[in-house]
Amino acid sequence: MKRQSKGDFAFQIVVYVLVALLCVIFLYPLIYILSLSFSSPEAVYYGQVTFFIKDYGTSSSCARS
Amino acid sequence: MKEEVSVLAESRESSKTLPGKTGKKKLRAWYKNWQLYLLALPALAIIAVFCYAPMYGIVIAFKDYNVIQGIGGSPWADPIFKHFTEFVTDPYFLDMLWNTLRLSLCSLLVFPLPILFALLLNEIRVKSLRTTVQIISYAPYFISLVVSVSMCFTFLEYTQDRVGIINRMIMLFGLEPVKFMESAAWFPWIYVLSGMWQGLGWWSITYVAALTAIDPTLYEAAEIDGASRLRKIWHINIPGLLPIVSITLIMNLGNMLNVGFEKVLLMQTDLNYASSNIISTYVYEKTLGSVIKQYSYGTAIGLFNNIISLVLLLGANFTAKKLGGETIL
Repeated sequence: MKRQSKGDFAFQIVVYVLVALLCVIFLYPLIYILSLSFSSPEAVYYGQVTFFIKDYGTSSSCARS
Repeated sequence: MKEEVSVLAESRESSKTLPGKTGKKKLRAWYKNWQLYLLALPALAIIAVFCYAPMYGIVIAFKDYNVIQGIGGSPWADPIFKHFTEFVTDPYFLDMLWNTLRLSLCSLLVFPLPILFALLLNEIRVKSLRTTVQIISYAPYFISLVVSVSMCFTFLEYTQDRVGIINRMIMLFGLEPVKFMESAAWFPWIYVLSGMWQGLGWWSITYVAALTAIDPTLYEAAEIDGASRLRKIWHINIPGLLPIVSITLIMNLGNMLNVGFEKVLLMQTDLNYASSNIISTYVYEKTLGSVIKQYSYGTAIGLFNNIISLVLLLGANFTAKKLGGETIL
């Protein structure tokens, strides 16, 4: 690998930060909806689900009934 | 697509080799390339059957259509343009036109985002990471429209007993929660941004493909000249993308008045009606969605819509031609 200049190195860091941010934006809503779908209705109702599944169950209704 | 291009190329060549376009020689040129014309035939047949044959129905825009008498039997509208004048003098007319244009202008505003995303992807040096990011970015595209709209409602809701995740975040920062789906001012932005979330990765595919087609010797030359990476993007990548950008822009301008009807209809609530009432949902409202089905009126509005779209498309194409860019016609 060639040595990079300082500017190019900073540029590379900016690129990776942006890409990571975009990945979060793309994935978070999908994971959130999945977690909502598999959490218990109570947890969904009281807004306890933010990222991970809370009180696993398949009988739950979706947040928007 | 490819066949048509090659047919064009062939016919151009043969017309060059055959001086004097007498009927007989023209016929011979056709005969010489008959296989190519045969290949183009299915495509032409599809266009004829599914695009041109149903156009016969446009006639009801000039009639007082009723189901019993049918298309042919219905009486002609009294002044022939009755339904058109009715639409133009509709109290909602200017509102609808402005709402439609505003939605497409907002869509145009975010039009560069997929290009930027493609440039960003191109800058990831690790190939496995790049493909992973690409696949992640395609994921939202495969969610159906109904699901994605209901996701919007879920995330943005703010009612007595339910607060969506976005409003919870807003409240976390101590700001006033917003009733997004019930506000006319927010509607265009929700529409555009949720569409962008879904389509960003997908729409960037063409640009990524165009970027890989750029001659690598250009980069080497730039390297020798000591160009930084931003400079390389500015002087090599962006000029390399311009032809494709201009074509997609022309296509988007042609579709300006045909903004996604289903999505707007799904996102429409009584409270954001002031900005979500667009021409195409109004057509639905007047024809299939209402008890009194005004088919003629709906068709007239649709035709009006299409004529304006055509004018916009041709205008955009003309401008691109004048500016010396790529055109589609």
